[in-house]
Amino acid sequence: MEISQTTINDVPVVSVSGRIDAATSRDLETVLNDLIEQNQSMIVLDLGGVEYVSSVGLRVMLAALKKVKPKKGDLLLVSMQPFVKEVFEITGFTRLFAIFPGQAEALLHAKSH
Amino acid sequence: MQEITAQEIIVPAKKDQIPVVTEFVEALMNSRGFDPQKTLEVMLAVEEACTNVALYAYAGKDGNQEGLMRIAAGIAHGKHRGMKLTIEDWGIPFDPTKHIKPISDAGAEERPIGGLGIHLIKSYVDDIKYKHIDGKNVLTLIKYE
Repeated sequence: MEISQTTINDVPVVSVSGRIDAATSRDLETVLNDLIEQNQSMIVLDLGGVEYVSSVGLRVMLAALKKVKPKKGDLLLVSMQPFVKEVFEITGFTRLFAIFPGQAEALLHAKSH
Repeated sequence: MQEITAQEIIVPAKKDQIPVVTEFVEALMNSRGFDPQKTLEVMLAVEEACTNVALYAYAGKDGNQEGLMRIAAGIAHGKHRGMKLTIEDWGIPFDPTKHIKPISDAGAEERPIGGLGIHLIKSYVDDIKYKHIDGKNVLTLIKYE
């Protein structure tokens, strides 16, 4: 798994590629926690390069969402591949997250938030 | 269903060993020409089963946290070709098929963290069976091609 970070219009954008599994989810957790500790509550997570996510990865995203929600923030998910989207649907996670087709839509949403 | 090929690995029942297991499954399925999508689905089911073992099987059992898990993968031949995965541990008896709860409707704040794995296993394999034999938890997953 690879994680890269950038900031667009003051919104942190975290892009992940590869597999979010039992081995790699901790790295994502660290990146998201670091941003939240830096008082970033509106975060875009680009999953465009992610082909696989297990429940361990879902828990990391849910934990981050639970931390930013009370701060009027959000974890905006973008560019999900079909298998990842299906895993979100099976687990009911599509109802928990704001999901966007691409970064542009998520950033527009973040701006209007 | 006739099983003519089986390979197995035994690893410590720890989360950091799960990629070893999923890579074992992936390599076997790739070498036998399974569809990459089906391979990912089986890998996910196996990862979820092994995550449960790593988290719960040996928790508090005689203070022993150093248990093992054994994963056997076989290509099942017959009317339909498929993968048969057997996940075994020597931990606390636990039947995951009896712990399938409906997915919570709760929002993010109240959403319980557990119980997702078994839903994913159920969704991505065609058959799931649990037995407790000779002090072992034996979970068998079958996925047809």
